[in-house]
Amino acid sequence: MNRQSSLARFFRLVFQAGNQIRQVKHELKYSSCILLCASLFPGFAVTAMADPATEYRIKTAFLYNFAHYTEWPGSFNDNFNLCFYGNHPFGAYLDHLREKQVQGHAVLIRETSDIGALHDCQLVFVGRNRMVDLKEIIESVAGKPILIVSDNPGTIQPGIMLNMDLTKEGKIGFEADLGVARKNGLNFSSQLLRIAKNMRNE
Amino acid sequence: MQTLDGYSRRPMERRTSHFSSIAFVLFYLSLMQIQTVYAVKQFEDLSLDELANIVVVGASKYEQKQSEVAAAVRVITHNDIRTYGWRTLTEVLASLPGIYATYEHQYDYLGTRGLGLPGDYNTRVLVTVNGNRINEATYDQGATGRDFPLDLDLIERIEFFPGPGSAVYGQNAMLGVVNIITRSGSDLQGIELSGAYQTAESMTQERVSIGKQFNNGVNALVSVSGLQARGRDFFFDYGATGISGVARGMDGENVKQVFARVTRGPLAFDFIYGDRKKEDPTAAYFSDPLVPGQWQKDRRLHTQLQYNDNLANNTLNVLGRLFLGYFDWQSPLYFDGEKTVFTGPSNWHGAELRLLSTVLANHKLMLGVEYQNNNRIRQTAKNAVHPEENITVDSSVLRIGVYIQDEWRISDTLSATLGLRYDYNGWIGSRLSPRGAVIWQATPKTIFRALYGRAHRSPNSYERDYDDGFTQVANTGLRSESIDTLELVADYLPQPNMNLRATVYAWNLNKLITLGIDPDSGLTQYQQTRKKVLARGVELSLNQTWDWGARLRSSYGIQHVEQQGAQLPNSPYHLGKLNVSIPIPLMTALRAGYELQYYGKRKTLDGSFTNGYFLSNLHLTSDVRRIKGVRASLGIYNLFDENYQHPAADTNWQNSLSQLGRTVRFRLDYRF
Repeated sequence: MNRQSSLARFFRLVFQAGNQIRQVKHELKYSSCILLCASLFPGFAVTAMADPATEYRIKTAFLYNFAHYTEWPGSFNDNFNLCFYGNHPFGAYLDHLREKQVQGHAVLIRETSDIGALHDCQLVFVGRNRMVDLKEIIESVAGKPILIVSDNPGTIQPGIMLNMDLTKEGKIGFEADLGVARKNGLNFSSQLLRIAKNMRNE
Repeated sequence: MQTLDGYSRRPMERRTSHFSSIAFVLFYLSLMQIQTVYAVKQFEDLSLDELANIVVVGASKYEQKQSEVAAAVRVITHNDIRTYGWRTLTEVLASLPGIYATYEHQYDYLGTRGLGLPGDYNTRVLVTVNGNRINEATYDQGATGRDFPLDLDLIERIEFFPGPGSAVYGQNAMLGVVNIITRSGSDLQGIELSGAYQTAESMTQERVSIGKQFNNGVNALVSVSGLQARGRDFFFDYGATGISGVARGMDGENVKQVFARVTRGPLAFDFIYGDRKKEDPTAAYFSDPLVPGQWQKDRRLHTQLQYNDNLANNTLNVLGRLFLGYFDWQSPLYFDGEKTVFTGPSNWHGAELRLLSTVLANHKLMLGVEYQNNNRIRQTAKNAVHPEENITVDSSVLRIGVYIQDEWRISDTLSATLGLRYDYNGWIGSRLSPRGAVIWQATPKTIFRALYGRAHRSPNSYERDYDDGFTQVANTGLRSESIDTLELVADYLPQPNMNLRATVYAWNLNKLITLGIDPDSGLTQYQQTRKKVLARGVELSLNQTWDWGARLRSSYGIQHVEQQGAQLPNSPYHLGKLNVSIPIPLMTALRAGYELQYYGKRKTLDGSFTNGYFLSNLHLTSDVRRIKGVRASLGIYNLFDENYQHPAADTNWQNSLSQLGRTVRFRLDYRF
């Protein structure tokens, strides 16, 4: 971005906005200070508050799509419980999902590190640092219609139904294990399976 | 106009403040960003095809693999704590290589890598909860026993970084850093009730925790815990007094704890309060033997407000925290029938700002500044019979630290960490704590680490300032202790579920602060010894998990610590640890955790040795699935009723102290 034109646009915009509210001068004083800082560190300040296509921003959107293109047997009681097991790097991106609905149910984000608390989740994302607990998670939710998602680099781990990975081109891809999903009463729509890089169906 | 940025959707407040100015600028800066293709849509509105074609920017360099960490960190999880039924932080940490516990019927002490001087109040290990220092401002004590103010059930994860940590954490991180991460409201999502009874000490324990994550993103956890124990009747020999006998009903203990954590987005608030009273059957500090009504009471309050967020495309992590703490110690003791009440309250507050940037390729740069004001430290002794002997010692100290660290990924297989921290406080002046590490992934299955670090601790106020004119005189000339550590670590992972680790280390401790005699007054005084403490040690460990659910953690450590050719007291040569947990066949959700530990003989202050001993603990846990939410557990501690002793401190009549025999604890948890 051309810094000069940004500066000019910025001043114009601040001015217009300033006219709409009282005490423009006071505003401007601080604004220009911050503007100065911002223009000194364009890489930091300018992009900091925008919402660029970072890895986890896109993965957040993928999670939403996974929920959208999966069929659950019967209906859920109340909310669509989107659970995150262990630490995860999604951070504030999850705010984008809080006001969303999945199949008519409000999305409720839950972050937990307690395997016992996963039984009423519809989707469980297992953080990379907690893949060691995968076996235990799968045992505890066995047979329940719970979509288990991870973003483990490399191949899909046994028991995981959808695994996201960063491709060499810097895009997000995912593998699907339809066999495991069906065993738990879930089904993936054809749109989802069409995009999947690899699909297992044992 | 709509942007992808959540900030722009909020209505602007029509008031003049710096914040509104900032918001304005941010608003317009974000408007400038709307040139991207997906500007008017949220990513969630895109089709899968479109999403799969986006090239992501600044692919996360954030997640740090264990293999890249510049320390041989050990992690213990909530599940491990449940599986082995550990009751105190000391018991948790004692399962790790090279750590041994000492209990003198008042406080727990951690021995680390061969250093566990009797009565040193855990000043050389730093304990933090969510990054907030637990070592208080009067004695710098990093509590790990029942005086540790947080219920273990509220811990999500414990990370132990062996070795020097002062290059980041500042003082007290000499032999290790214990970093505790708590659970949050969403981990509970409901109410948890817990009750336990333990034999021998006739102990009851209870806890009520409520946790919830609300739809607006607020995540709250509130918990209250209690412990009441009658204690054991031990036989004690009160040394020079010529008195010995069974201390009946003098081992009671009472603990009350409150914990609250509220988070929303990048903000978190922690409130940790612990109140623990322990009766003293040992007549510590050479008080009158077998006299009831002598006890120690510790009250701790640790609060903090933390901001932690990733900015600038996830290339900048900002951690800011404000903290406020209070500590109070109180102890009535009888000397020749006269009661003296000792107290040691302190207040502190401070702030820390840490920036972690990954904007430079292959570098992870950390910059931090920390400030702590121990604004009130007061030590008193009050004698009701002779009020003229009452004393009050007031002191305060301001600490400032600045640190910088770079983790440089030289190649795919080689990385280096360099760090330096500068500390200043009025008592010790300036200190520099450097740290360096090289990590080499020699083969896909082998990692080598070479680590060097220097760490220090400032004398605590008790050592420096306490002066009652008849037992101890002050020594304001005390400077800091420092330790240099060199360590080589080799990790070998022959299978994905198996880890073999060998560690060789050497450390030298300079200017150790110990109790000596003041030549002028002839009274005791904390002094700095010129005699260096030298240590060499080896630790071997094997961790393995099996597909059928079993887990094994084992280690063996040999440590040799000497001071001018003489072995240091309370420093066992040999330490062996074994932890096995297995699912019980045919009974789903029943799990057994077995722990076997060997502690070699330890030298006592009179030059004799306590015997080496084996300690076995067995713990069974079960989820009673038919009754939803009920969890039962049974623990048998010291399974074979081993009779063993720990070396006593130079403030005890005794030379060594008997420990608890077999105890059985039954515990029931209910969750709804």
